[in-house]
This record gives sequence, structure tokens and C-alpha cells, in this order.
Amino acid sequence: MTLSEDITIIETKKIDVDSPIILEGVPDMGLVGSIAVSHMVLEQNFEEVGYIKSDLFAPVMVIHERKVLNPVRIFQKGKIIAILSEIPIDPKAGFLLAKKLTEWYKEKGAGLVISISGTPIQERLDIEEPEIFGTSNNEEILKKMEESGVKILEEGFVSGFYALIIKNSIELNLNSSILLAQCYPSYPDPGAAASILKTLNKMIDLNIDVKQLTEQAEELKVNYRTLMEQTNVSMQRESKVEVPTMYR
Amino acid sequence: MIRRYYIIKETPNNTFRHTYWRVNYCGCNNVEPLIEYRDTKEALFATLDMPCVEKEKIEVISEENCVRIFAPTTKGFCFSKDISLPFLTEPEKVTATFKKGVLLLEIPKKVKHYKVEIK
Repeated sequence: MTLSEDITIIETKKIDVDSPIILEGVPDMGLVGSIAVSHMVLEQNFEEVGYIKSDLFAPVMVIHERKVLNPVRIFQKGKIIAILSEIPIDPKAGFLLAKKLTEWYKEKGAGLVISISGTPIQERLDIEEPEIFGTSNNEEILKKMEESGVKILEEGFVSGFYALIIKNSIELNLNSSILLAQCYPSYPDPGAAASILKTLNKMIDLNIDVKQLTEQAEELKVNYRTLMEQTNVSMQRESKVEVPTMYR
Repeated sequence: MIRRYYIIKETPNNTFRHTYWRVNYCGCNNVEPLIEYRDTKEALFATLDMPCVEKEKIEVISEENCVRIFAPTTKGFCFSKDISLPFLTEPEKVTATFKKGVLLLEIPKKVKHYKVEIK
């Protein structure tokens, strides 16, 4: 039996929004994106409007409130569309998923794509409020990010799945940005996710309450432990890119 | 209720040197904590993510070539990790700090330098 390398985006409900803002949460450093998007979706009562399927994804289904669900799902509320993955995306699947998603964003007329991730820092334990760094392919968005307290990356590199998203976005003329919170390299980091959501509240006028993320951080770390473990293994499979950290 | 068992585990050659006490808790699933290492010339620094654990209930047992960590959580399972050391340490000099659900261990390396006399 040969496995298909296709990635299919299934819309279970009609997604018809003018110039939507897309938020992506895929497991990587500190699970910042996954925790932030998952919290936003629950706290703001987003509606599940679709899912993404592929033979390249790990053979996993997730169960929430007795319902069996696909691990990579699409949510929507108003102008915001959220992509949430509850499984790590391997590099090969990542290439194809980034291509498929950016094409889909173009088709939907996306106004802005925001990828959420973390940047590991050794002294994370001593930091109360993680700082947010960011980059974008659009000068106006960079200004807006700066006004929202994001430290803009002046020099440096981004790598992995989100690098592919921004690369494809440039080719497809989509406005794309990446937000990175200072985080633990190998532990789930709800505090970093809370910092990202606070920044998003300012940047795109959301009103997400992050109290639960900080108050229940320990429980969340326990819940996300297995996903973090799988993500650490998946990240080790990515080709290592030795890059100098020139940004400040 | 957590009941406690002490199990003596021995290696096949059954020598005293290789016999050690292993602490275990009955009825609990043991889980390895997520761990990060930083190795320097003087010491190995290990940080273990152990959420939902009370500081008072953490047990760290240091030996010359191994550090054993055990901690019950409030969620019905226990964290357990044996760190085998590729160097020798002085067990009494191992230090542990617990902060924000993270256990920091500093395991100093036993380095002995001898100036060899040339005859």
C-alpha cells in the first residue's frame, strides 16, 4: 500500500470572511503556538469549521468532551480563522502543509497571517513576563507590531515550518508575520503563550483573558507534557541549521 | 493513599558495589520528567520540568555515578528519573533547587589532578 502525499483541507462549514486574519498554532518550541491558539479558541468560543487530513500526519485522533476529532483543525470567529495542530508536524509534512495552507489563505483572501511560536532562552526561569519578538514581510505590519510592544528582529534567521509559511507568503503576495515569545526550549510554556496573547490583544484588538493560562500553568504543563515530548523528538528530526543569533 | 515500597535491585554479578536502593511508590504510574542538560567543565546542570509537585515531597538521592529523582504529583502519578553520570561526582556536593515547578540540579564533577613526579 502506498501512502498519498496529499494534504486536504476540508471545510465542514462555509468559511466566507472578507480579508480574514489567520492565526497559526503548530507544536514547536515550548508549544507556545499550540497553547496560545488552543486557549484563544476555548476562551473566545470559536466554532470548528474544518480540518486538515493527510497520510503524512501521525495516525492520531484526539478526543475532547467525548468527541473524536482530527488533530489538525480549523476554527473561526468573526474575522479570525485559527489553525490548531495537536500533533507535531514532521519536516516532510511541514513542507507540503505550508504550501497547501498558504495557497488556501490566498484563496480565502487573507488580510494577515500570524504564526505563533517561541524562541528558547536559557534564563527563562528567571523571567516573569517573556518578551515578544517578531518579523513580517510587510512594513506597515512591522510598525503595528512595534506599537504593540513587539521587538522587531533586525538581523537573524527563522527556520522550520513558519519559515516556510513566510517564504510562501512572499511568493503569493500575502501579508505574513511571525511572533516569538521567550520560552523554555523543551518544556511546555503557558506563560509564554499568555505573553503572546496579550500582544495579540493589542495588535489585532482581541480581548482574550489570559488569567487561566497563568493560574493553571502547572496543570497545563502536565496536560501538554506528552505533546511536548513528541514535539521534541520531531524537532530533532529537522535538519539542523546553525545560525548566529544576531537579533537583539 | 500513597503506599511506599523499597525494592532492592541487584545486578547479575550481585556485587555490593552494584546494589542500590530504588525508591518506588505503589499504585502510581512513573513518568520521566522532561529534562534539559547543560554540561560544563566543572559540573553538569540538569533542569527537570516537574509541575504539580510539592517541594517537600521531592527526593533526590545522589551517588558517585548516578542521581535519582523521585516526586509524587498531585495528579495521581509520580515523576521518576535516574541520571547516569558519565563521570564521578561527590554525592554530598550535589545541590538541588526547586522553582516554578522546575528542579535544578548542579552535579559537580569530581576532578582530581595529580602532579606526577618524574623519577
